[in-house]
Amino acid sequence: MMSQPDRNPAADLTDAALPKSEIRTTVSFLLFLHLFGLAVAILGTEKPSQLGLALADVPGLKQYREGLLMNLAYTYYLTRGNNVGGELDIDHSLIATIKKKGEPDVVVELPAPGTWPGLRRHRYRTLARTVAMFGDETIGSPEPLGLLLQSIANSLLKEYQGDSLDLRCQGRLTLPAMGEFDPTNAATFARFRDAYTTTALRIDNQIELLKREPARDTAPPPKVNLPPKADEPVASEPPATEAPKASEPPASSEPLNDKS
Amino acid sequence: MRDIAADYFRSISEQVGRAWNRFWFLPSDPLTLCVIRVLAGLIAFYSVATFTPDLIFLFGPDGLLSIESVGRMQDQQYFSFSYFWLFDSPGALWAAHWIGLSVLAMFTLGLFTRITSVLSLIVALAYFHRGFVVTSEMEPVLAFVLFYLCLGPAGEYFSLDRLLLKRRASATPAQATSRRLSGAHWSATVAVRLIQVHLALVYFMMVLGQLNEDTWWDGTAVWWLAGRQDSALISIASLASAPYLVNLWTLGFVIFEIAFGVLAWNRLLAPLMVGISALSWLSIGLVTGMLPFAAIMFVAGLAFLPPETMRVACDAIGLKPYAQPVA
Repeated sequence: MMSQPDRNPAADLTDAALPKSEIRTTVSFLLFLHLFGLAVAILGTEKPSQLGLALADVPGLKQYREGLLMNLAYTYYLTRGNNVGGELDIDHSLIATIKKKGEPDVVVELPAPGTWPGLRRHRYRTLARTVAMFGDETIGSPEPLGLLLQSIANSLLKEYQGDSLDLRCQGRLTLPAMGEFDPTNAATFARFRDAYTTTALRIDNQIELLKREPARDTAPPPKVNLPPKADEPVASEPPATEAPKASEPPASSEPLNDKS
Repeated sequence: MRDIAADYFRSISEQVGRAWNRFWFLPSDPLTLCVIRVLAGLIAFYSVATFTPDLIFLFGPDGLLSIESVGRMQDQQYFSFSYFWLFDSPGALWAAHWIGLSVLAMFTLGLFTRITSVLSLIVALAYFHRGFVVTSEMEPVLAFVLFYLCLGPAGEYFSLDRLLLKRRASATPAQATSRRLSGAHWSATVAVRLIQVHLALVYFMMVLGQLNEDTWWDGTAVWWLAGRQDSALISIASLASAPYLVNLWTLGFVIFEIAFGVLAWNRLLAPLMVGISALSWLSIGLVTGMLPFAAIMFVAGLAFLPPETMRVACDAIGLKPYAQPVA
């Protein structure tokens, strides 16, 4: 008898404990589909190739991955993206100043100070960061931004029975880089920056959103006296406008919501 | 020549097939899976319970995330299923919420585990999909752990199911089957292997993502993480004068991630890697404030602990009676 060095009596014993061949075949097929779906999720979401995008759209597999929250590449930077220390890589909160005729303004902050436990706080910060991301001028998405802001504004105005509100998505900048950090300078511990601001008005039970230029904590770049290029609009100072009163139609506005 | 090639490929297919069968189907003790069930169940319960104060404020008819607006966003983003898309009245929301918490509690306690594991997955996904704009890193990891727990006998140990089974076995010993009481199941192996493979993939992609950034190379990432003062649970401002420590912390975490993905597969080194993961994830959880995410990453990593090692650990903390196969 020829020797079979890979034949192990102990292995035979354990092989006997395996489930029936039909079960193994069926489960192996399902495992293959599942693992293929995982691979496609990575190939199709993180810097996808054309093939990756095509595979990611295979019907059935796409819904399976999305339904189980597996349609992502798991590239958890933890620093929340490549823009470390930048505008998006910070904690955000939503601050709404709710106005009602004849009554003092009500300021609502989400998360509210003292929100506990931490996961609740984290959810509100995630919501605020989502607003910041959707409202970002380079990577933003105006349509979902409008839907989300309408929902938030409608909720707050109904909760507090306001006529209008100013909503700020405020980011708290991280501590400066290690080499620049001065622990004796209290100002470095609390630096804020508005990522997005808007005014919401209730008009005929609809929410109208007025986009405003976000406030900046730094001076604008100096003006250079050059003629504009043919394909670029003429740069102009952002208009200093007050939020219009709820009873008056807005003088200049850039509604973000789709009127159906 | 053709015969040699044929023999070669036949040999490969036999070896691969045998290895595949042993990797996925060799029956194993579900003790590790049961421990993961308890811990993941607690995390899922906590995650859903923290929706309680904000349930109506978020999901109600005039909630921050109204069905009308956010539902339209959802349609544009991706496929989701959640029973919370079907109703937003406060009464229905509260009923669904308390039922969901009850299901998660039963799953954690190991009652009717085969059923409550599936229901728990549905409950958790319902919240995660409905509140997709407030989910972050933790939810997808918890989701796949809960999914894989549905596939194996996660109620064999540390469960009310076990208690009921023992009572039935002592009452009617003739009806007890050796297979039911032996503890070894091939489905336990499938479930544990899926957690292992998926987690190893997560570690791999996390490392790739982090090494795509300068801060994880230059050793300052932990400083930037802790610099988000509203999230961080500890202040490391004093470490500004100890950059080497910050560098070590940062690079140490990356090395741990690489090492875990490779060395945790070794039965001898797995307990060591799991131990290191506890410290690593605790440290990252404290500087990021993302303790639930750190917790679920650690819990999923327990899948690499062999059942015999898990039994030793259970013995060490006084849980021996609950971790023995029912004789």
